[in-house]
Amino acid sequence: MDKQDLASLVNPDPETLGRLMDRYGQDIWNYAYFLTKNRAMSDDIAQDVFISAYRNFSGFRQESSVKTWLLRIARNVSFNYRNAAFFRRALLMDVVSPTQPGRSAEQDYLEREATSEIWRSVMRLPVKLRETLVLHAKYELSVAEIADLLRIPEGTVKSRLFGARRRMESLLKEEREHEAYQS
Amino acid sequence: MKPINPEWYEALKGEPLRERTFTDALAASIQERAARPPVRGTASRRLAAAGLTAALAAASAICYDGLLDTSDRAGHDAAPVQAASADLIVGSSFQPLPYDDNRITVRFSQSITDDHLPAVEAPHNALLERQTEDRAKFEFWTVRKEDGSYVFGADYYVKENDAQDWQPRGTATFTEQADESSLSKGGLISHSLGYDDYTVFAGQVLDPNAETVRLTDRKGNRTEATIVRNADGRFWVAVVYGRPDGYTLQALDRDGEPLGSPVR
Repeated sequence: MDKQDLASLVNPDPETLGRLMDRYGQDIWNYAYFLTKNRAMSDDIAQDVFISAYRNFSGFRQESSVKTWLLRIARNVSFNYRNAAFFRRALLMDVVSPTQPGRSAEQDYLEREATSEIWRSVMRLPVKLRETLVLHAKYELSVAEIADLLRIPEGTVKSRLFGARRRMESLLKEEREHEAYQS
Repeated sequence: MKPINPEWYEALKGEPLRERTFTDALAASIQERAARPPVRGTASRRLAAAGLTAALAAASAICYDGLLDTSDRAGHDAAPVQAASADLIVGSSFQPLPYDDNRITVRFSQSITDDHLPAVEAPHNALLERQTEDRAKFEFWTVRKEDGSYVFGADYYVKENDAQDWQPRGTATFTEQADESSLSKGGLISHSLGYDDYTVFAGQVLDPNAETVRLTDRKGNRTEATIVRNADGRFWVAVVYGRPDGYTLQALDRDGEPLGSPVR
């Protein structure tokens, strides 16, 4: 799937959609999960991202890579889902005041299914640091690409990366000490 | 000199979760949805979370919808902002929330999720222009429809690089359905739109005594909304940086006295 391939499409093409999902489906789902930490929401976001891309192939003008184009859509969709989730929460809190102590099902899932302690630590970072870190480390975007995607200055990206790495070191150290104590 | 990445960086190139979460079933579902013509009007998706359903059932019935739509009118790779569409209907018909006359009602309308929003092409009634940065601004507008519903729109513009002209980057809208207005008597109707790093809170002001609408975040920072009237009615608009996760919404009368109880 290259840029020209996609940009040449004027009409939606199911085959291209399939290839797009094969190539980027898991990446987009992961990105939504990094932002929302919620599986159901990530499913919905991934759906909306690819439907949106499918209906807007002709809007892709090769000014970014296909990956960053999809990430940008995913980011917008994710924020709107997060807003929606916030409002659901606000509304429910107002009406039924469900204060739930303890860990959520999502936290339990992450604890169980994360592939490593490093990923568990990443998911404990504040969302701004987490997002910047994964865009750099996992999606291998440059500082300039991240700045463009997040619409923030490059200096802010560097600062967030610095902050994310420092927090990660601290979390990983904490984890190592915890493990040592346990053993 | 390029900084050396820490050793744990390499582990982040792999997958975060053990299982593949973008499943074949999910891909098939997307293909199926893509094959259908775009839905005009209400897009609905039942929220599956059992806990949420139970909570909503306890709260009588709530119809909620997320918000956004966009049209990529910029000609750039602007990402279309899709509707965070989700409605949940408990029971066979809409029921009002338990209503307290002294409470500001925060509620949400159906949103249009079509890719080519008819209202965007319709004549707009300009509402307000708000410049968020030297090179970014929103223009807000409304369109009142024949059935009494209205569309609230936010056009987002930027000046790219050294350009002096504003370039449209997208349009976000929500639609307030007229037939649900009984839920909002005496209060405010609230929505949010997100674009770039900004969140727009907005809605119609239905209480004629409301002179100020104030948002307060968890740190106590206050944002006074702008109240503005056009031919479609009286609306409040607040633009805040980021995606605030928790705020209090309060309407005040002309003497600065709170109207009803704040909504968090």
